[in-house]
Amino acid sequence: MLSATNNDLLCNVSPGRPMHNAFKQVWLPVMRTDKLEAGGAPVKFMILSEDYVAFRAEDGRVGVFAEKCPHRGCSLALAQNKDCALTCIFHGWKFDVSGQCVETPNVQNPDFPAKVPLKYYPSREAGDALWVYFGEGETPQFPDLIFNRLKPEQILSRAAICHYNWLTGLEAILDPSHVGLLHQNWLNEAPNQGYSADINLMGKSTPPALDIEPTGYGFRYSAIRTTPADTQYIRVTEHISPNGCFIANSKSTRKLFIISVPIDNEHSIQWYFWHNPLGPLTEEDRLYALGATDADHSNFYQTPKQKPSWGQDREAMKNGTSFTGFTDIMFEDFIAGESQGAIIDRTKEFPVPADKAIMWARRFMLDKLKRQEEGQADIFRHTNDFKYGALQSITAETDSNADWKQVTDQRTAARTKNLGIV
Amino acid sequence: MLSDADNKRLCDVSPGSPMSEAFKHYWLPVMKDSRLEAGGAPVKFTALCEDYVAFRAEDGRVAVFAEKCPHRGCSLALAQNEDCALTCLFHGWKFDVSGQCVATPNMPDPEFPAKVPLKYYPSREAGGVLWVYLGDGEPARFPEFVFNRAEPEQYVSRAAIVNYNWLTGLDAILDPSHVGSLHQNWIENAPGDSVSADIKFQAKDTAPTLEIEPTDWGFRYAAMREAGEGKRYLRVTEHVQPSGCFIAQSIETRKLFIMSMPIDNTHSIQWYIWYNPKGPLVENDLRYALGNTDRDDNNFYQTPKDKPLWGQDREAMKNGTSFTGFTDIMFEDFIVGESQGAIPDRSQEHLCAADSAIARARRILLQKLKRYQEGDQEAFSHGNKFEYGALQSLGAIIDTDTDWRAIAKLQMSERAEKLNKLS
Repeated sequence: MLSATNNDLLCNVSPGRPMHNAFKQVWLPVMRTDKLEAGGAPVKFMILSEDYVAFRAEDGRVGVFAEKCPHRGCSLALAQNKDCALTCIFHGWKFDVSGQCVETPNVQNPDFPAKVPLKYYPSREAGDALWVYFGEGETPQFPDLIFNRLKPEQILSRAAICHYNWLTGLEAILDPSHVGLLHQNWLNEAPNQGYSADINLMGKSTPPALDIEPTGYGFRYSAIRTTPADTQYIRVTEHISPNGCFIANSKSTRKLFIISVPIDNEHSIQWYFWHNPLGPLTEEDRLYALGATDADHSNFYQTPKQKPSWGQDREAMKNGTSFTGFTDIMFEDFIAGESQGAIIDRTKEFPVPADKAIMWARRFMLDKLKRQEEGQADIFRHTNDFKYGALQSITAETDSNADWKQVTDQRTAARTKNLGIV
Repeated sequence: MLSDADNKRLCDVSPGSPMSEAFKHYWLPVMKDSRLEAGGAPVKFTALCEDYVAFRAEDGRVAVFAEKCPHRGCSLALAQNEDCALTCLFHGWKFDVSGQCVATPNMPDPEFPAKVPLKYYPSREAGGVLWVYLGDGEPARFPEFVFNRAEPEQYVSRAAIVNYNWLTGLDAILDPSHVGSLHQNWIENAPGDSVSADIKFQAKDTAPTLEIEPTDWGFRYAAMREAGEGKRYLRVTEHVQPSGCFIAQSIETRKLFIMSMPIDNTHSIQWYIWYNPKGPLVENDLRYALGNTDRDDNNFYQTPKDKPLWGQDREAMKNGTSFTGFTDIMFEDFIVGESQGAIPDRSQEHLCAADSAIARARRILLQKLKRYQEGDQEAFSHGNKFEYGALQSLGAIIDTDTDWRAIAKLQMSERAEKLNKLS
């Protein structure tokens, strides 16, 4: 449960709001890089309620600018993309791919272009996605998470545009206890999908206890379940602050990172970065990543939105073939999220212990926002005392008294050694 | 550049706002008068965020009322148009074409109708347009521009409804330096029989020098470009406050007046009134006025709006056949205007010397708003010292040392003299 004030503090990403400033301290994935064609149309996008334009020059380099031409605000989405520069069609002001203004045909003074302040943003292509740093000042370390270091055949990045605030997306991935219910049909089928059998322990075990540890990049937590055999089933999620998670996937060749990126206060991109750290993603794993979603990787959540009640199949619910009436687990998450309302009224919740990670994430951010208001700079930046490439979620069945942090650290050490991550 | 407060002061035309008050001191073009059929359906329209209804009585007279029946607010757009009066469907209250209430069937008191206050507005048909005075009190002098005195075969008036605030439309017609960039294909390709050859100087010299001369009706400004051999290409635009301009067209048989008319804060009508002061508009000039726009003169800007990025043709941009990817110069203006956002954030602009007419118009308006607020009732008046019918823009090649002000002044007084002889 949150006060209306705190809910607004976390959800409101409009310019000038604290959470807007928070997101401007981290790198954000904004679109699939294949949307940018060399010398092709610039692509307009919105992040944090502000408009931007990205383009790829003929030589392959990418530039990200504020959408509006600094002269009189004509959209640079309409601009010419030639000579490794955007030329505004209105008065011909020209900006090269590094963001420097190089021509202003309606001004006689040759020194004028050098003085035109275009808003330019550092960007990087990694993991099939265009990542952008929207903040000012020194650019922070790029999050070279494992999938951001892999070869194209090892990754599949997909974006879903959802009609809900970014926080709903974060809460979905910090919510271990919905899996056994919302996704119960999937859970029954999961072993046939190449998951290890331990995934079934989620349905069979006790409600999870949660244990959380803060880190330099956010926090990690383990959902700990006691199995019928009295062992411990642990699922460790790595939370990259403020909005991403490695999801505990009990399959070594198909890992998943999800990140919720704010478009505006009522829309967000849910990014699914599927990856295989060990080799190419297999055809089977690629098909799994597609599920029953829409085929467009730039927005794989389209069809349910157009239907009343998201096309819920009440007949299938009645005859027991589907608990939810929906056919895909990613869709189930998005639909449940949208059904909560574009901005959830969190004054009316009734949280239970299984929601502890959600509560913790909110408290964690509210605390940072408070320190930010007190004048501490860059409070949402990650520290430098860890390796992004080493982060990964794990699942394991352990002795009932094993320490999940130790288990995780041992696994991480072994994995980073194997992958040669330094 | 404008502060947020000044930008809002100029853009906000909602009831009670300073700019709404300002516009209510001018005659405003609200629709083509051909929309009004004698005895036909009343036509609802929105101007300055308020709703009105216009109708034509069986005898041809036109009247403009507030949209809502004064009784209980039923829309008079639904009313009967008979006996040179509108009769509200709801309770039968009846208003004649002069705005007088003449029947209130649900009131037995025969004195009652005379007391019903209907909001009635003076209107005038001219130039193919219905002009309305939406203010209180004595209407301002009617702008008897050349086209407002001309015969129907001399003009064609066309309206484009755009998704931007009225000020974006005014900015566009006070902006000489966009022509060489945004309209460069038009300059290259316009057929010789529809434009004069001197327009090419707009592409050759893309940084015109601007000079501005304040006038009773607003200002006139000259955009001057190098034309070689000690000559300059002069284009003089007459800006008629609050939101109109005579555009410099260097062709004798086809002149153009553009006016930006506020519908609400994020929509406006861009009026294109094409006319030939000397005789009927010729076929070639009529075709030119249509361009590649939509054929509906009540809204000739329709198709691009339905398409992503206004249907920009990136292929044509790439292969060099079109700089903008659009096929009509009027559309180019509307599209860049819409791309600036419905209400542009003018605190983020970086104006240059070529934008000085834009900056001046805003400054004058802000000064007038201030004067009016301080109690100057005449702040928005154009006065009586000039003939609207003598206003005309000008395009010419002149010697570098010729005084453009003198030329413009002389031409205007010559036209005024001719008008006086006629009347």
